[in-house]
Amino acid sequence: MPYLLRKIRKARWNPQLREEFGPFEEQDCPADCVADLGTSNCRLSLWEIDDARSNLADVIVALATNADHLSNLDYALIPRDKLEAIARLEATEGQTAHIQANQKWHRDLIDLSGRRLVDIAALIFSVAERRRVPEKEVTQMIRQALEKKALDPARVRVAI
Amino acid sequence: MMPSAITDLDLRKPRHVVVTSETSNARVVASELASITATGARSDKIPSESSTTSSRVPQSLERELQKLFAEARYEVFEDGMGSNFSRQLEAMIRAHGNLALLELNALLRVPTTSPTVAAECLRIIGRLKDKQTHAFRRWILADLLNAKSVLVRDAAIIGLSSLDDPSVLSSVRLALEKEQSAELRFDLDQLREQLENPERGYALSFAENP
Repeated sequence: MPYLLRKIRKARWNPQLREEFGPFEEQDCPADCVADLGTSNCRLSLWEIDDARSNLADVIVALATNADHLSNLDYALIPRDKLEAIARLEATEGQTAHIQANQKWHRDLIDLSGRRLVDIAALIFSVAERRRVPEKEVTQMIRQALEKKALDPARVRVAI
Repeated sequence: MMPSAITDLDLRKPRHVVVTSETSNARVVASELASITATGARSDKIPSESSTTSSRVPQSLERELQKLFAEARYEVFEDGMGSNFSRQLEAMIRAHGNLALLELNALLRVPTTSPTVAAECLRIIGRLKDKQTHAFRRWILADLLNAKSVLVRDAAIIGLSSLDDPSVLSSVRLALEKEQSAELRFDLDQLREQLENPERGYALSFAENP
């Protein structure tokens, strides 16, 4: 089952926040989660990850090099079929330094309404796998990608 | 023996004056905890233990930081991205060193401080590369692994991961035992693993930080 990856700030999705800021209804999530779902033209940028997660590291590097400075990278992995039940996916070109990732794995979730976006937030809150790659590991991954010439140096924003 | 309080932990605290939310600026607790090392405080800016007037944080600095925190209350932060808050806070810490951290330490513990802003502050504190304030920043981060807010505890983990200083391992292990959130336990365990396998990098060696 393929996944879709969204860069998030993991702390916003911590179930304990239901107690800290709530109470909320059973299926609901804290409002701050929506801050991780910034849309433009009613589209949400996502990255497709294959079943074996063989392209996960490449996508993490793509996102990490698109930042102002090195940091940890938090992400959510959402089953593709569950997202497709809410909105349509479209393959589009990514805008990062990772050449292959831009061409092969970037997706837009399109025609999003406010209600659909809240449904996506609730979905991520309830079923997504949320993980953190520490800054130190991110740095090593970027260095390896640079050595393999997987990145367009002109588009790498972070200083290594 | 298992440490039972923060004062029992193996933390190398800087030579500075600690102000907490309990003390505010009304009661200042002087701590002469370690001789100045490479990681210690700037000697020219640090008040002496017996001093009564110079141990206070300048009023303007206190007000500036309070204003900065208040203005950042509705800012949306993203990992890896700069913000007005991060730029101004970094500049203030670089300019005022441990005096700024002294005030931040108090602000971080005020119940009305936004947990989101406090969390962002901790990430910045961990990310800074500054030997002069390293020990104080490390102490604040390790102490706030026990914060009430899950947002603040999460940011303390991230800050310590950026700081990458193995000397906080005992605090991390202790926090791991006490942590209620499964997600944070996972992150704390990841941090423990990182610190147990140190590499030569920013982390200070024993010779630099005895």
